[in-house]
Amino acid sequence: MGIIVRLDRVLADRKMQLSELASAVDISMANLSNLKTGKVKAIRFSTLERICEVLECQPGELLEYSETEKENN
Amino acid sequence: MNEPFNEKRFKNVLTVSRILTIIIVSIIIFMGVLALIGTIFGMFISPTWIEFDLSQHALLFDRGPIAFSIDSLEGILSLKTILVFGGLALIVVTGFGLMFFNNLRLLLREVKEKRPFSSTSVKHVMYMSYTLILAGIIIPIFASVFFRQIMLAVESPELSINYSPDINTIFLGLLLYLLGKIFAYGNYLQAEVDGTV
Repeated sequence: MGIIVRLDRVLADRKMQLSELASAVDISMANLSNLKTGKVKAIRFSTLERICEVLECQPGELLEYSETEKENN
Repeated sequence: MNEPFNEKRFKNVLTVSRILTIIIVSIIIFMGVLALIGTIFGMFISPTWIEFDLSQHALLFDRGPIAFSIDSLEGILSLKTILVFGGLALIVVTGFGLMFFNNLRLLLREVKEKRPFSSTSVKHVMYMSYTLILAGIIIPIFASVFFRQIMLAVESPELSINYSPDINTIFLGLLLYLLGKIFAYGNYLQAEVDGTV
């Protein structure tokens, strides 16, 4: 898939652990870990909204489109 | 808006179905064992050990809209013929019955575990459909062989038996195949939902 999730980068900028975000957003660690590693097929607007709210960022900072990633897959 | 789902009633239906399926599987296994013993026993007994004089019996046929009886039969039917050919036909029937109901039992277990659209459920529905389609073709072969043996004993040139596949069973099998494909689509949708956070 050409979409890359940059959650690890945003978390590092905010000096926040994945577990902290999981409890703040109220989704399981497993799901959040899957999102971070790009193993999910889709993300709900409601989930994205909560993550952006907690991390005080824009959706564009979390998601990135890459042509090369698309070609690799 | 979604229809309200009565989970308690569904669980009750599921529990009753599972108990009935387990009882049916047990009865089928018991019948299969009896048929196997009868067939093996029949293979080793003499053809003249116990014989039935058909002039003492009437032939009754009652299936669907067709029913008739023949009172004047002539001929001798041996117990060996009944046990061997009847036993073989019964073994085949119980084999298909066991395959069908065992897959139904496993499917109901998947549904009870709240995985109605798992790939395992799809596999069981597909196996049930294949079983019915094959049963509709193969069981009539064994049944016609069995009845042909009985007809051979009856000294009547007017009586004959022909093979024809069981269209009703094959049709049910095809319907289950369609249901299996619907389950496969449900499995795909489930994977889509599971992959969404």
